[in-house]
Amino acid sequence: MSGKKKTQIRKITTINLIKNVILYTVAVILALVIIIPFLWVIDTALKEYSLTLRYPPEWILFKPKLWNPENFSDVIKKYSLVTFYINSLIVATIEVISTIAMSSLAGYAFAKLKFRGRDILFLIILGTMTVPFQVYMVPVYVFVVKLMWVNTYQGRVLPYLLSGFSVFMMRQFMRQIPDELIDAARIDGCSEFQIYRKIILPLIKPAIATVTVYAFMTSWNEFIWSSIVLRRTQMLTLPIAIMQIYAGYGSAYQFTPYWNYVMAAILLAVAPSIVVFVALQKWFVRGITLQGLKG
Amino acid sequence: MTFEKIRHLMDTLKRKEESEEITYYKKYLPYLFILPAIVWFFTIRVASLAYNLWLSFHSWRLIGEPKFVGLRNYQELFTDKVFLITLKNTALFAFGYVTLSVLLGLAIALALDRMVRWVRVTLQTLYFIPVVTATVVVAIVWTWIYDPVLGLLNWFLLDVIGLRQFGLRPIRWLGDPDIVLFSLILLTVWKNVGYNVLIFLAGLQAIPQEYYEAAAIDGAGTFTVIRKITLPLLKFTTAFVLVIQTMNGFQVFDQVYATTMGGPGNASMVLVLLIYLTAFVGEKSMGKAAAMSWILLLTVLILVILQLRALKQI
Repeated sequence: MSGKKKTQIRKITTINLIKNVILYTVAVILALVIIIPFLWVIDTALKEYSLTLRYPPEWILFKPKLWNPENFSDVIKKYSLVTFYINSLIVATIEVISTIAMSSLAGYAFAKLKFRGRDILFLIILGTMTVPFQVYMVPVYVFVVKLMWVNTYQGRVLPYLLSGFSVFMMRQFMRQIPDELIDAARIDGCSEFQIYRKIILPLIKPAIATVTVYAFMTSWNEFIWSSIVLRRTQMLTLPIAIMQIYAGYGSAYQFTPYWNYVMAAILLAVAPSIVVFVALQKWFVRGITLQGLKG
Repeated sequence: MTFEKIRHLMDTLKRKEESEEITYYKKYLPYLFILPAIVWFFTIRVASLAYNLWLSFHSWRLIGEPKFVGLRNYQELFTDKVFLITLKNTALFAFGYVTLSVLLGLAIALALDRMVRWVRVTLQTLYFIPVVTATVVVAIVWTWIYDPVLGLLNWFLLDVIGLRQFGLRPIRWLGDPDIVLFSLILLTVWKNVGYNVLIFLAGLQAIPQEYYEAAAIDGAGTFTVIRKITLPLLKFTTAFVLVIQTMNGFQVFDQVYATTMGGPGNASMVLVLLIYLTAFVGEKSMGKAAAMSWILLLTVLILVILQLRALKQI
């Protein structure tokens, strides 16, 4: 994508200097605007509760002596964060595996096999991507209630077992695989499933990475459907748990949240998504820009 | 002779059988590949949509049977003051959010495009971190920042910059019905602008250097270049960003649920929150909720088509 060499004859003129100064000042301001809330979260998470009630607010990021790292172990114990972590992990794993399996199978068919209705079906799948989730949530809820899947993992993952985006990504990526490769395998007597397993799957690792990151992010951060389907405390996923820690656990409504605990819990809850993003951002970015450039 | 003929006949027959078997197998196999996906799509997407439409013409509280009421749900909605306020709020939020996030995204991308690679990549990544953070989490963090007494923002404005001397009082960012929508827009923009920056940067990098060089030879200044070369070439990218963010704007839910729950009064009540409350809290009027979600769908679709038309993408 990039990698163009900008051949510029740099003239050290006053105008150029001023332009650069302005540009990089802007860069610094931009960085600050984005970073400061994060730093504030970390700062608050390290504070002892009484410190959070002080005005003017004190920055203790650079005063390690005032740090209270017990906040993190406290919040894990007090609010049994481990349970919610496990729930989120189970849900994410199911959704990611299901999405990859179904979308790669379907993607292969749409990309490389010929059958009647292929293009119409693909168009319909694309079309559903424009419909907001909230339009599906009432009917799917009725469905889940009828199946008695409320408060279960099945009920929670049902609307997220697949996505139009993942099918689209898989198909686009697979189209780039040379037909000759597949035809050669067919002539050699491979069944289509063997072709899928032995040839296609190894070749689409980038697409799998992209879909994995995308599905994981969607799952880990999901809130609205979780709050509809999961009502029992043991079944909650992290976003709802954070909401509960903030708004008051159980029925007793706190007027001022324990901000230090809330921020500590938040750091623990978002760490995985940030780590996954930073580690796999190449795939994530590729998936998004592909949508944007060829959509 | 006869044996050869028979053998030849049997060979031909066997080959025909085999090729028929292969064609039969080949004909239906693709459907096996797409079967799980199609079953899922049909149930969770297509049938849901149709059921939702059907449900919108009925009245149902999850007990007993849905009762057919024709267009009554829609009639009642459009004469309901709360619903109309909700529509207005949602439209205002979406409009403010889309405008701000797209303009800022574009501006930041234009600035980043001119920077040294490591600065650009670092900032791009930094800006994307809020995007991959859960919206509820961002909303809770901003509730803390927006706190009227202890919050970072008021402290910054009143005491760091010193506006308190000029008579400014602590601002109730989420408690003042006149500015609550703006506060919500602000936090959502903070969260999502990185996405726009990423897409715009990708679009910008696709513009060939020769155009800029030619413009430089002709003596065009920075702003002229942006207006006459960069922007027209970004039409497709801009359309994409507009569509995505319009959908995001109208589907706003998490942050309102986590901060104001529609308050104060109904000053920040938005469509999806109203659907949620109607369907899952209190009366559980499934039919009304279904009707509202169809209104949401139609609104979004119409706006998307209008935008794409305006940018000549359709």
